[in-house]
Amino acid sequence: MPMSTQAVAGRTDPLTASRLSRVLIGVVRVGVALLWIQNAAWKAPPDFGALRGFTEDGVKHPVLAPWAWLIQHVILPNFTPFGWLTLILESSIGAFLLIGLATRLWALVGIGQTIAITLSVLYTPGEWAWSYFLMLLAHLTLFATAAGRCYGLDGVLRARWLAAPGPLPRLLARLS
Amino acid sequence: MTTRAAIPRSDLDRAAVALGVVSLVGALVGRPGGTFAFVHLGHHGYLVVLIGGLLAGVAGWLGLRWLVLATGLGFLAAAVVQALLIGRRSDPFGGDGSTVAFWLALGIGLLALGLTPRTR
Repeated sequence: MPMSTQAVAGRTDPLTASRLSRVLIGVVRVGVALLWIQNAAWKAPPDFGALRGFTEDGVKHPVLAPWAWLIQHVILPNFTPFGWLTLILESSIGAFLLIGLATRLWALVGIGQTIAITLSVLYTPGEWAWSYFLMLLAHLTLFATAAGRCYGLDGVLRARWLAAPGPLPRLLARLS
Repeated sequence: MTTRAAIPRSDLDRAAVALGVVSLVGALVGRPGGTFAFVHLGHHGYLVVLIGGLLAGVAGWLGLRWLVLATGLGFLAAAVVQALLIGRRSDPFGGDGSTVAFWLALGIGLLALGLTPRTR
């Protein structure tokens, strides 16, 4: 009996057919999560001193003029709330990527934060530009592969969200 | 009569056990300093991951949904307290932002599992 096109594709698609590929996607997700988790350590309240230094680099070595203006006139004068926002945002990216929950949403948030960081420090002397390009590419990979479905909570909960009625499960299914 | 412990039947319970194991592994990588110290834990922080990890593991193994929820709430509360007290003398955990992120992950994960309705 001839196999359907979908069945053939399912057999040959390495993302769904290969356990090794699924493990590797999970490893990439956890690795990117640990990047954010470890780097949440030096966003230290109440003064967020180290973070302020990197943020000021966006003014001293501007990458994009409007972004440098935003840092100088909006962020630096209100630095404490900005520091808390950064700590909460980056802790959350690390947390959700670690457990693989709503992974595609948090991959997008990670992309946004990576772009913000890149626009602040790309031209700072001593920075390796490819660090930030690789960060961006890693998050694009997490989004494209819906990495939480590989050994993450999205993989455990998604089928239930798809089967459940109501807007919240439907939203969570889309974000996973 | 056999005394062999049954493997948790529900994937939700198995996931809770996995999060418990992740918490215990956090104790191993929670050394201060070093390139591979991904999560930083103070003395009382070790207690949180050890006790929380054991509770999550037991809750998942025995299918105790209420204990999954309670442990998740505990991790979430510890994360909030840690975030508010980073660098202060009154900080009982001695951690930093990495501790907050790690406990946030465990708390949200266990709560998501505990709040998901069981289907038979």
